[in-house]
Amino acid sequence: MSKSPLAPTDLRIVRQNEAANAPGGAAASAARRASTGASPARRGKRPAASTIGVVVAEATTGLFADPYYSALFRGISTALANQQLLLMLMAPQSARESRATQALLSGRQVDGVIMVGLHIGSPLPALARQLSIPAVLCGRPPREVEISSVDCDNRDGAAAAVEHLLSLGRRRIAVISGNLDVPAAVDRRMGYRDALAGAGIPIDPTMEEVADFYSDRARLAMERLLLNHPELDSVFVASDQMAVAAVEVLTQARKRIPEDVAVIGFDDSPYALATSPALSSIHQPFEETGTEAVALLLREMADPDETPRQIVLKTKLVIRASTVGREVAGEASRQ
Amino acid sequence: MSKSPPGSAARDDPGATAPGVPTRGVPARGQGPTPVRNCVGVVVTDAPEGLLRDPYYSTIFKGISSALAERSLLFLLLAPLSESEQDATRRLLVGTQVDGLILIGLHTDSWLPRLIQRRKIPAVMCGHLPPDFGISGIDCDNFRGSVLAIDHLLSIGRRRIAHISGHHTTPSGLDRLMGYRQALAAAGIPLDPTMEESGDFLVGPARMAMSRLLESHPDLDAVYVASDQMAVAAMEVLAKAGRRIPEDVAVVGFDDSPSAAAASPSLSTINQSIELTGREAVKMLVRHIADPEAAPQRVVLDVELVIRESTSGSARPAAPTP
Repeated sequence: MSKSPLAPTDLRIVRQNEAANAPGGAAASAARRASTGASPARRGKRPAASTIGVVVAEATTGLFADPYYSALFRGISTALANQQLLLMLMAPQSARESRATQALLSGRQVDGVIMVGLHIGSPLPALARQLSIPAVLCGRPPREVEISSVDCDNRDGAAAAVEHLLSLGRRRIAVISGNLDVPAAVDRRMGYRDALAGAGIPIDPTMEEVADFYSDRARLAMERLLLNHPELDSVFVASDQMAVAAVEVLTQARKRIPEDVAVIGFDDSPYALATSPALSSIHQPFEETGTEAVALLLREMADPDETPRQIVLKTKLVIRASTVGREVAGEASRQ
Repeated sequence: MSKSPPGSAARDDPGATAPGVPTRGVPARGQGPTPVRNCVGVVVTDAPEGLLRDPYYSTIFKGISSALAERSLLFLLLAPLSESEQDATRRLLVGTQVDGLILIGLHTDSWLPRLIQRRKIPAVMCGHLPPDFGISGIDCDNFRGSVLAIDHLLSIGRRRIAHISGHHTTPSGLDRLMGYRQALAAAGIPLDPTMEESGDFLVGPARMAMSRLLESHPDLDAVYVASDQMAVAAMEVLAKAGRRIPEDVAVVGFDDSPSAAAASPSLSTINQSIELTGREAVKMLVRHIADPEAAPQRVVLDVELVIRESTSGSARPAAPTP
């Protein structure tokens, strides 16, 4: 895993001074701004900041509540602090909004772009390449476009989650995955299938439900699974946010967790601590994904002839009471 | 900087497209701005650290972005801090013709108001009423919110009411302070400047403000705090100093952010419909885009007192959040 070239302590000091100097009116805020700009104080002589577009495939309403995105942006904005870079965030949903995003890129108003969670078949990576705009993808890169990317090992992480369930003696393992037009969702389901195959357990499509990374569909998915397979003894849910909904359904159905049904999620986000019992999960290095994406982007902006690089960050199994029970979890809450 | 084409709307000029610029990142010169239709820029000045996690900003963005998404308009967020980021924002907005702009924060730099006027870009100021640069604005009735808060504290028998204020340079901070003073004056309580401390809308300074107030006025029996975030910090200081809330010191905040209901004791506060403010800002902007000749509007949204444990105590059930 490559190290970020930026010194974290330097970045934090600048931010602290800004916050502490917040009061005092126009003079103070002007002084504050001058202290964080590049060296010459005279307007016009200052090197203009570059603009980095951050394009997110998620609906903005979900964006501001989502721990993945807030941690990712924290990583991105920390890495960009002190770099004279302006961040521009957009989250195109409809076709019209996507066209607007493409118009922004085509107008060359953006010096670099970070794309997050794009759906399979999104035209943006190819467009960035065609316009020679330095670009980095957070997620699995499309096969047909050469573009730098930072992803986590979704497939192996999911396999580890299911292997953990297998190691506890579970055999009737269901899965609730995210929407399959996102590579991460596809990869996590593949990891689930890999682990079952490794244990000689045949795939049963009725033990697989597809939701959409949000709570409502996940609730329906868990209900359907219980209906079709009352004998299931565990479930791998492809995000903690969905797992919270699954736990609610199981609790209402009077299933004891983990005694009757063990539950494991994915992300290790604050949602994992919102359930009772707390969720075992697969830790995703969100903030690091953002930091690494910025490092890759800066590299490409400095030298556009660099070949695109793929970085895959490792996930980590985090064991809590939803799989091993409260007593055991008390002894070994993190692995 | 690219030259503006003659006349107002470059966006109606089909010729205003960016040429194939050989140098990446250099804005087109001598050409009009690139029109980007179905796009609304949201420009935030003086953004706090952790903008997307800040309860006020994330809620207002939620309101703005959901209202934009309903109309299939791209939400484009810019939050420049340093001077060079401001320059980059200016370069971007000069080089791009978006459908409209929503401004959040004070925008004391004049380049953006001037650009808005010169290009006649539809614009709405959200969360502040614009001083005068001829654009529409929407805010909540900060002054009245303070009056509601103080009247409530007076109604439960409090008389030694301190205030932890926000920025004195922002209209909201100032209006809330004025409302506090006015409500006390109306009740015949003499003003005491040592009962006011500034928290700058930040948690650290709010904590220090509460400590200072306790030191200089150990007998204070209530505190009105200009934001929930600061109020929760102030309550921690009070608890550490052995004050029971509300028995010894009643507390009222401002915003009705999620942290208010979740606090322990739960926080009485002023609900300012932050999400609705964002949605209404979009509605006003869309109207202006449809009718560029319409006169700028100034909308002040009403606020509401929400009574919870920090003033009513656990004896009385907390009022449900509206």
